[in-house]
Amino acid sequence: MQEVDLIINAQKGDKEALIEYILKRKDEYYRLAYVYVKNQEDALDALQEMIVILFENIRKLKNVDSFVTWSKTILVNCCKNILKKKNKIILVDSYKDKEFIDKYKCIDQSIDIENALESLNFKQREAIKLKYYLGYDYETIAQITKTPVGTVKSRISYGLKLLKKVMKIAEISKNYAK
Amino acid sequence: MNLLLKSNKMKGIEEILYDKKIDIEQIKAPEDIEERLFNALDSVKVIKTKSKINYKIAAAVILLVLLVGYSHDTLAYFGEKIIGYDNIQSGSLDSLNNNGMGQKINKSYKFSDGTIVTLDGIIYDDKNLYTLYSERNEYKEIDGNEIGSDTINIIGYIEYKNSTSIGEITNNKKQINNIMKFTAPAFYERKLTFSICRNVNGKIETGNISFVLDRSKAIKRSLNKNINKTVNLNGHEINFKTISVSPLGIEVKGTIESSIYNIIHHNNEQYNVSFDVVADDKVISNIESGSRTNASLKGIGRTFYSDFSGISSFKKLQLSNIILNETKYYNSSEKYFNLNSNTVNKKIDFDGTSFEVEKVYIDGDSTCVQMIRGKSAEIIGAGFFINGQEVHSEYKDLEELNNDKVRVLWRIYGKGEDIKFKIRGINYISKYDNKIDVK
Repeated sequence: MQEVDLIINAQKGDKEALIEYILKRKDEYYRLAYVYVKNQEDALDALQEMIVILFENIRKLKNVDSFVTWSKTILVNCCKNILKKKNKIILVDSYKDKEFIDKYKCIDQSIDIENALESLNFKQREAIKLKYYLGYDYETIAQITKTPVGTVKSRISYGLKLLKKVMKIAEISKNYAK
Repeated sequence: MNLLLKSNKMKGIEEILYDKKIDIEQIKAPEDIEERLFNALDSVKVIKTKSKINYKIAAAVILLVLLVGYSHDTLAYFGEKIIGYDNIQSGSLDSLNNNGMGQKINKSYKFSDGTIVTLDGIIYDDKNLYTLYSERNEYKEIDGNEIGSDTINIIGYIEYKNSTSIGEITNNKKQINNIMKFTAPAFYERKLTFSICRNVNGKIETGNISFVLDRSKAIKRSLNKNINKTVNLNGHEINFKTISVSPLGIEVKGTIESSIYNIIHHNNEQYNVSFDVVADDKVISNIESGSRTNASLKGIGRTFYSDFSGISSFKKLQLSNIILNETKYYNSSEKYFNLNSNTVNKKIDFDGTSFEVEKVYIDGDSTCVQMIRGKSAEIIGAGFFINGQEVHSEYKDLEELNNDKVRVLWRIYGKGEDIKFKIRGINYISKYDNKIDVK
């Protein structure tokens, strides 16, 4: 069945159609959630909450073509709610997540950049991760985060400058000690 | 993408970030995702107890805390006595509100969809500024998905970003009252604009509320003092240098020394320091490592800050329960430990720390590795290899033992006669048992 048909059927109340649609892109949705919450359980929780909201509101969706962006916006909000409720400060302790650690073969560079990202505020970090980790363009990031494209660019630009500064400081520290 | 490339250094960072994309693309949704989605829709009309979206719950108080790099304890509100914020105020700042501290603004902006944002007042000291504002729309209910989606800044000669907020949806779900925290405006600022950027029916709309700062209403600091105390934990020196206290929050500055040495020699270490601030023998805040760091020859500087939990008066002030979490990564290590079903009470020494594998046994299609570790040394990122292939494993603590040890279990999803075990990281926890007297 075509994806558009799945959405139309979901709008008529077909739960399985909605689930089938999400499962066709399950890795895409899961990665988006994982980038925010950084662990499997919370990512799955966010996906569960997302699908409930989607099913309850899908009849209001006028433009079927915008389903993907709309659903990802909802997923991002679900992730943010989970982070808020858990008072989740993304500290370096999050590296304890085994799956997160196992994914990175080049630990040196990964830990440095992840630590440096913590120096940014949430919105800068969010924009940078959506762009570089998930490959979203500015327009998509703007739609998902409900921010003007100019603001997205500004957050990324400012965030990169700050990252450069933080990593440079770390490099100077290393070089000096040598 | 090229618009943002200004220099070779920035390009290097972008390359690193794009490398992460390759790793992210390896992540696959777990197999039980389908079951989870079906289960979620099975109970679509039921309010799940674990649900984080409270907009469906009538007359509920919703707490929205967006924390970036700070810990927080008791949320406190203060300002002129403004009706409607009582449910989200607490702590020492409550008394300030009752005394009418703060600056009343009482200005509004109306968006094209009928939503009215009112800046009721502000309260600030030399480090932070809190805004008390409400959003209401007589014609529609607050959409839970919209909460926290506005972009709000304070604009003067420079732009001030917000970092923390807390809000409450009122009973009729037509209004939300918020307290939002910003960096305090610079000393030269006088005229400011509270700027709200919202998505209104698919279009971005900006509303501005201008006001003039009345410096006479600023909250004074309770204490500014040098601490100059050093705590040695696990070979590291944590220097507590200064403390600054106001009813709005507590700031402690210090350094962690030997970090530079460890970066060179270990190259993969992370530190997290936490401690309690105790006033008159009562813990008023627990603070964790701050997000602001600056490296120097003397170590990595840290600023620790408590949100919303300051204090105005006290006789005695101390820092206690000082804990250092030190995480070391050994991904480049090629050291493996051999295990099999006959392994019993095998001692493992790794980087000066000892562990004991009590036993290895088969449980169905899995292999279980039961181990004893020290309470202060937790293995993270363990890898198990069967026939040269790494297999998935799950970890859990089983029980605490008497001699500061913990019995733990790894369940390896696979079976094999020869298992290789690799340690990728260890989190060391050190605690300072004494208190530091500040005042």
